[in-house]
Amino acid sequence: MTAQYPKPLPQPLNPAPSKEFWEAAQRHELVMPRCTHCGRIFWYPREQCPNPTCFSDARLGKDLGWTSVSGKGVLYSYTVVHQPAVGFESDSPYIVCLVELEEGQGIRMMSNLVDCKVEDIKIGMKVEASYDDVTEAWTLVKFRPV
Amino acid sequence: MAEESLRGEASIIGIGDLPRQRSWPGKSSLGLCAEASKAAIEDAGLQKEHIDALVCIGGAGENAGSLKFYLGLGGNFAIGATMGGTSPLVGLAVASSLVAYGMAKYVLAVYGGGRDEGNPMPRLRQGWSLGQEFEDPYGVYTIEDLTLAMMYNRHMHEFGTTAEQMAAYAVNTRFNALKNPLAVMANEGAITVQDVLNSPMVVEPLHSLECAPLVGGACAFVVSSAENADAAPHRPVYVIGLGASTPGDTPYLKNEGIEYIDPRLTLTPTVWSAKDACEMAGYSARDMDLLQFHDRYPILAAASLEDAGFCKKGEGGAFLAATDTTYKGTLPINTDGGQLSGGRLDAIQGASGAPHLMEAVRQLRGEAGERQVEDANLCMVNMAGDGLSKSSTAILGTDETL
Repeated sequence: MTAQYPKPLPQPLNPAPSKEFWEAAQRHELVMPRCTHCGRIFWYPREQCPNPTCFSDARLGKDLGWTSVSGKGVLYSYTVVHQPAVGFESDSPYIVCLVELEEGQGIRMMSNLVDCKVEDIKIGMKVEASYDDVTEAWTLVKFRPV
Repeated sequence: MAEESLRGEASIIGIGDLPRQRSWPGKSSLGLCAEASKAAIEDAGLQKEHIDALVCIGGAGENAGSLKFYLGLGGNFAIGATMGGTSPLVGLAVASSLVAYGMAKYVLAVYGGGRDEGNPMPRLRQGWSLGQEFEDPYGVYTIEDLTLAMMYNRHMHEFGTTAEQMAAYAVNTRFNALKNPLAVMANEGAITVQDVLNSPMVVEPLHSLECAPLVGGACAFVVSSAENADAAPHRPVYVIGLGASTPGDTPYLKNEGIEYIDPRLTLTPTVWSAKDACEMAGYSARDMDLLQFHDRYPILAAASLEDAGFCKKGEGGAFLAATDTTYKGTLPINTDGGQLSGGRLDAIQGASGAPHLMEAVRQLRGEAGERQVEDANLCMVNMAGDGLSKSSTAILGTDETL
């Protein structure tokens, strides 16, 4: 399966800031970076808190940590893709979505909506994380209707 | 020299652009840039030797030195101006600053490329981009901008915007393009609302006739100080207002409590860039005689028009459907066919809005031929970057509005 996977895998330019996120995904768990100074949960992982009233310059593991979230949220928006990205030809049409998570002031993740017919999609519908073990090394966090 | 602002300090005195066509067999990107540069320099009544600074617009900016060498320009320096799709107006801001503060007398700014050498889309992104880690695995990087497709769906959801409203705008830009020999759709004939709605879905809710076709070509312009503009052969076009905004990764932002960013996906950074440009100019939306707005998709133009103050937030669809935006209309928008029917200029990290600037200058000079807008003295030019991450606005005028 690993050799056959035709789509782009995550290519972290620096694996350190997001290592825990991808490791949790392999355990089928969702974790989010959280600043221990101001308490803000944010997405995507980075080495500095993005809250403009904070300015923690700490590295993840010091003033920035991780917190488990439920993986539940609502569909903020979506698009049905008929003109696929490279590697996604056999999936076309597929659904790219923005999901607002329950926690963290509703931060948004971009992902795929799966197990959902196009005619059943509704902005605002409840969704939950769905873990796709695409290779032995990588698990992608996707979403499906609750 | 004004002490507090760039208002009226700089003028565009020369333009040069090539037809926007789907491919340029046998032409290199540098060659196309050189051709447009020659046209712009001659249009300004100058020789190469007069140019003392080069601004290389778009993703090729880091190669500004190579372009300068290729063109055989003497003079002082070459720099890049890169801010995605908004780069041409950032290039205009840089060029205006250089002439206003005496660092250069005549600045040439160039953007262009063919579509036959490298850079074919779809492609994987290169370089410093979090998209490689968090977006590409989900099939996000396609020819079209999925963030804007999602904004469109969200706009429909929040405000009741319809595909028919967007189609009405597409019909008007095609009407305009039929009078612009440089537009890629110049000879493709008129379209109807039904044609747009019947065209295939590309990335829902975008129909193919709501997506600007990719083209090659090149645009160049020469900027001088306002003082020097009077000696130029054409009616000077003054830079009256400028604004730019780069709020960043808009789709991910839903951070209540971060006051300076509104987390709605339907809000474009034009809300900031247009405000700044209007403040510098001392004009507001209702003063404009015509507009050149980034219209990669009609929904982008609609949301940008809302944020620039032409209608209330959420009413962009109804506004476009009710407004005659043709060159004969009550509020002419994208009189050259825009990107939607003119073509989306796609070279390295496409600064695709460059033709909007060319058309603004032609209209303000009164040189737009059959599609000339009557009494065109004030024009807002607005450009947007991919994924709603950035926006730039310029207000250009004549001696009447200076």
